[in-house]
Amino acid sequence: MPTIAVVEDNADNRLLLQAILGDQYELVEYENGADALTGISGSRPDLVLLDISLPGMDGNEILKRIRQDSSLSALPVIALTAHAMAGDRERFLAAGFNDYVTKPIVDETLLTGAIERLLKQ
Amino acid sequence: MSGMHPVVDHNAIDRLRGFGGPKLVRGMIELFLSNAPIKAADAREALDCGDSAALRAALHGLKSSAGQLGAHSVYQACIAGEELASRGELTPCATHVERIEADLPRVSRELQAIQLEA
Repeated sequence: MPTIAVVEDNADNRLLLQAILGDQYELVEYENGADALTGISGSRPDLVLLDISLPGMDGNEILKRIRQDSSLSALPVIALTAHAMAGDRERFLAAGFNDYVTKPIVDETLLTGAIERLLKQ
Repeated sequence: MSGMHPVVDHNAIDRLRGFGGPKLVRGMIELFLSNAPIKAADAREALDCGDSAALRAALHGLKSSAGQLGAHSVYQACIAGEELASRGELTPCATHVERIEADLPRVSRELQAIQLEA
């Protein structure tokens, strides 16, 4: 079963993601960037779901450090974001994310489809 | 209470039930009922102290679960207030914090009722 690292400080979002994804994937949860980077470095997941708006080290900084690590640089990373404005997709892709999903999640297939596509690559 | 429109969008609750059944609905409501009053109080304190960063953090913390549970008025107030707080514009944030404080009790009561039925 593929492993997905979920980096999300909000408990109910983690609960929701577990409900949507837990039957198909093993989820490893982190509530902050420092723990996530340590954990991901120690045990590489198959994909990362990364909340953009984390307290302290935000998602963009975490992504930057993932991409700078030669052992992690090719890791698929999906941004979880509450911001969904024109141009956001291009900004996230330009920043190095592989895809993004907006919150609140209203269509789980957008999330599951993105994960499936990236894991096939 | 009679004749008042619901403050929780039951389509959102149905969606959550589709994602993870009654267990998910109960779990998310429980988390909201525990955390939302704390976040609302944090927002009020931050507003009164003039701390835009703390206000932004409190509203951000409340926003996601309010949105996922269909508490639209609270969700929209969080969005608007967080945006203003991120720009340091605290004075207009008061309206949104007041909206949250006004609506949260009824939202909580509706969610408690849903939780019992879930």
